[in-house]
Amino acid sequence: MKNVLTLLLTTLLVAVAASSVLAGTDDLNELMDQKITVPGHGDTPYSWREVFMDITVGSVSYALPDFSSFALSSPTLAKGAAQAYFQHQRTIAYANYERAMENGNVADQRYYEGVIARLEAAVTWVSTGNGTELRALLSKRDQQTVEKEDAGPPSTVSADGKITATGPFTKGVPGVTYSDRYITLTMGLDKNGSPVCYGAGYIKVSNGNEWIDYFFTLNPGKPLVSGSTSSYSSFPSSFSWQGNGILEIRFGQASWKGPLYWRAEMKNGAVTGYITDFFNSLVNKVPFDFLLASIPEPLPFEAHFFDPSSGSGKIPFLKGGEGRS
Amino acid sequence: MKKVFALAIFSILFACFPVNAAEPVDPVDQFLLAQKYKKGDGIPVDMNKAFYWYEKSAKQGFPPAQFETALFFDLGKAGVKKDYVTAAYWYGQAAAQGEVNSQYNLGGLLWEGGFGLERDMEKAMDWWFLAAVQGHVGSQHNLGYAYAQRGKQDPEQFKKAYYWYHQAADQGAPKDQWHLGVFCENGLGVEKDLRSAIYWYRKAAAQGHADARERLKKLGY
Repeated sequence: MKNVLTLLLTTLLVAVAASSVLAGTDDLNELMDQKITVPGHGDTPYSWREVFMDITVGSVSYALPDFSSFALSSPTLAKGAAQAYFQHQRTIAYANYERAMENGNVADQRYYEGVIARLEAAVTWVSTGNGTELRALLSKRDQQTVEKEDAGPPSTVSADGKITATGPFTKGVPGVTYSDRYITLTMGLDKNGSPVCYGAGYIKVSNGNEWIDYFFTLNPGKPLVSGSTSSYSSFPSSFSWQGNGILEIRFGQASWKGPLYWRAEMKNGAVTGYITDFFNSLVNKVPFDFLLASIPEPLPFEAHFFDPSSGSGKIPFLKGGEGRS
Repeated sequence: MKKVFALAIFSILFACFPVNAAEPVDPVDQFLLAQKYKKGDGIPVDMNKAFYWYEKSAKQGFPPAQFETALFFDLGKAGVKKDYVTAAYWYGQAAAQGEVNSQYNLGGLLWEGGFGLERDMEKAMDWWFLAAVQGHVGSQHNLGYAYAQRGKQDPEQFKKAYYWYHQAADQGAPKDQWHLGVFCENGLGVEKDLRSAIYWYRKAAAQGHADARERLKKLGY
């Protein structure tokens, strides 16, 4: 009797396992069989793999809709797979970026700055549906169209006159583990020839199976020197800004937002600065102390870009770019 | 007499319905037994029995057994007829559960086609992609190669080739470090940069890559 029961139980377990296997097979095959028609690219169907790769290496510009319209017939699986892919590749890209910095491989640094910026924007796109930043980055593909003066422009300068600088937040809280901590700044000249700077930062604090996401939005800043009305025909080699923005903290299914203040100084190919004034506005909003205790205030950063200051001393642009209005 | 008769009946029954207490039912135990037959671990090597137990375990959904079963059909081992369709089936069962070697091999089968299996290079790249993002060096290399082939028609594809060769090179693969050197020297998918090219040629040469050594000599390094 005991043997019969064992046999029945084993058969039942095998059947359950087999059905799970078949379900997994179906979901994954369904995902891989999906072909996506991307707006702006005619009727040519793309595999989801190609879309991921196009975004990662910035090889194509898409008129990206929000993710819900991009989603495949297994939307949960597709969104989860996309989020996991972009976050994972971003972690790898940042590790490669740091390695390139250690090895002094400038070309690789520039390469991974672009990759990181695109993947970060892709995470935002998948998470929030907002593809604005990603679309903008994919529109600025590597193009050798900038006027060449002496050695030619750095590759972080795009055809419409913006520079991207990326780097880490340089201070943490002892005992807290950060799996991501970086800022990406975009700088350029607005239509009046005034240098502008804006950006986004991200910190991920990991604790076993839980994590906290910190999204920093740095709105376009004003010159730090009040009353400065200088107009430039090419981007200066040094400048300072201050501005405000938003810090969003996400933990589990909840999120909280509050204002922030930031300052940045650009010189010698680097942009250093800090973010501050977010604690007081959020301390009474967030339910747990550790959400604010896990990041320092002020929060300093250091971002880098290619600076041919050994040549002309100025960063050449095609023409004045347009900052965000 | 009665005892002798009973003993005879019992022996006949035992012979017809052997109670083999050593036969495993659990798929992991079946897999482990197959491994013993494959490696001759405490028992004589017997690839037929290895295949038997791998297949039994595979049918219960155990991914390592599905991979091993697929190998028999893929390579035509132990008298099993080479059959890419069946191999692809078993690789696919394991691949869908995230078994990275199966994803890699399935990609290889689909890339080549043959032995009953229709070629499907897009699906091959999809499976390599799934393995590559898990860090499988061979899949990263294959994706680099696949995109590099496409790059000859569409130079934009070289960017993707560069990306995957880079991932493999960062894990120390000398031939991919060599490829990166070539890409950097010739501006394929990345800005032309001789310094970076030499950096990657040196890394490949340090691991004995002959072409990298030769190129460095020609460049005067």
